Amino acid sequence: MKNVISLTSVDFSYQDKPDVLKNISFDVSGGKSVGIIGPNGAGKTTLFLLLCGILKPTAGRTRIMGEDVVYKGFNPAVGYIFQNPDDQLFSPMVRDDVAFGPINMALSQQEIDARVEKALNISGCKALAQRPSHHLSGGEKRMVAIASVLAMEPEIMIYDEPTASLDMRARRKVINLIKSEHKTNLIASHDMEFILETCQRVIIINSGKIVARGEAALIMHDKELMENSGLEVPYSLRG
Amino acid sequence: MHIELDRYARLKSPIHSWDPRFKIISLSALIFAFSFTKQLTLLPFIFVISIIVLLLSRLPLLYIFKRLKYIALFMVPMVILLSTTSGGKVLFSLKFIPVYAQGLSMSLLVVVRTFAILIVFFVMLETTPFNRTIKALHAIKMPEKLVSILFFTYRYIYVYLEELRKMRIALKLRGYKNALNYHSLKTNGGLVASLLLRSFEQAERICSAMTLRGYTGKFFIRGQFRSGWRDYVKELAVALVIIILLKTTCSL
Repeated sequence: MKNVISLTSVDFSYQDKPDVLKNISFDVSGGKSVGIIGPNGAGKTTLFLLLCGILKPTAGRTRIMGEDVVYKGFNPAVGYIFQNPDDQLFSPMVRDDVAFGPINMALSQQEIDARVEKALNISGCKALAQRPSHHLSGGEKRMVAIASVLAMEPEIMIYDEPTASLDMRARRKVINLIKSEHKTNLIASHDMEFILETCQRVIIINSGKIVARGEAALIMHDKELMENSGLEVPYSLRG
Repeated sequence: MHIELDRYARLKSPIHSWDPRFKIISLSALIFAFSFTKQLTLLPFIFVISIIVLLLSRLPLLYIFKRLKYIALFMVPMVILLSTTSGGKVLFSLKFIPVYAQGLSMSLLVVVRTFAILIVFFVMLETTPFNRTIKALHAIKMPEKLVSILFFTYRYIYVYLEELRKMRIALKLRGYKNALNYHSLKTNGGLVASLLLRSFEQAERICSAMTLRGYTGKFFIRGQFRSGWRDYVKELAVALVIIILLKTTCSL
C-alpha cells in the first residue's frame, strides 16, 4: 500500500533545547494505525507538530501523501487532536467548533452542514451540538475535539494522548471510534493497552531517537526494550 | 469563582424574544439617550422607562438589584463628595458639613442616570445567550477583531477561572491564608503570573489548532437571525421614547 506519511532523516531543535529529534525516518502506509510510544519529553508531540507543519524540521524531509509538508500551511489531509481539548475547542458552542474547519475549507453551506452532522453522529456528540464548549465534561470535550477534526474528513488522524484523564467509558468510546474509522492513524499514548488495541505497529522514541519499531505486540512484549525506554510491558502481554 | 452569564437568557418575555440585533441597536441607543439627559425633571421619566424595560424582561428583580448593589457601593462616596463640595447655595447643614443644592442635584442626576443605564444594560445582556449576543454584534458589523476577542474571552474565561479556583484550593490545602503582608502579596503575584504564563502558552497552542483547521485571519461566525413585525414594533417603541427624551432635552 502507498505510503501516506514519510519522514526522512528528520532533525529538530528548539532554540533553547537542541537535538529534540535526531535522524527520524519512518513511513506509514495508508489505512494503518501506528503507535508512537516513549517516556515524557521523548519528542512525540514535537514529531506530530512537524508532521502538521506547525514546526519546521532543522534538517530532513517530511512528506504527507507524497507532498512536502508546508510550514505553517493548511493541510486538511492531516487532522491533529491536541492533548488538551481546551486548546482545540476555541468556539463557544460545540456546533460552531465542529463547523470551523469545513467553513475555512470554503465548502458550500450544504456540504458544511452535512459534514458537521456526520462528524457529530460518528463521534456520538449529536446531543451536545447546541451546548457551550465550557459546559462539557472531559470525555465530552475529547469526543467533540475528535468530531471537529473528523468534520474536515482528513486522510490522516494524529492523536496526542487521546485517553489522558478519560474514564473507562470515554476511553472505550475513543477506541471504538478509532477502530471504526479505518483512517491512517498516528497515536501517541502512555496507555499501553490502548496502543495495543488500536495500533498494528509501534515506534518507540527515546531521547529524540527511534529505538525500536515493528509489530505492536512483538515490540511491546520485549520487557528489556520497554524498560530501557522508560516504558512497561502492557498487563495483557505479561505472562 | 462563578460567572452567572446566560443564567436567565432563556426565559420567555417580549425582551427575550426580541431579535438580538434589533435589541442591541435599540437598547444601546436608549442608553445613549439616557446619558444625554441633563434635566432633573426628566429623571423620573428615564427611571420609569428603565423599570418598565426591566419588568418586561421578566428577569428576577432581586437578581438585578443584587448586581446594582455593587455599583451603589461606588456611588455612595461620589454622592457624599459631590453634595458636600460642589459650590452654590447651601441647602442645609449636617452639623458643620454643608450640603449644596447644586451638588445634590448633580449627584441625583448621576445616580439616577447610572442606575437607569445599568438596568437597561443588564436587560440587554441577560436576555440573550452571550454567544448569540456576540453573533448579533458581528451581524450589525461590529469590527471583526473585537468580535473575535469577545468570542475567545467568553470561551476561555471559564477555563481560567477554573484554573484560578484549583490554584486557590492548592494554596489553601497547603495552609495558605490571605493576609495583608509581604508573603500574601508575593503569593498572589505568583498566582497571577502563573495564570498569565499558562494563558500565554495556551494561546500559542490555540493559534496552532486554528491554523491546522484553516484559519487565515478571518473569523467566520455563523449566526442565523430572523426578524418579524414584532421586532420592528419594539424598535419603534424604543425609538419613540428616544425621540421624546432628546426633544425634551433640547427644548428645555
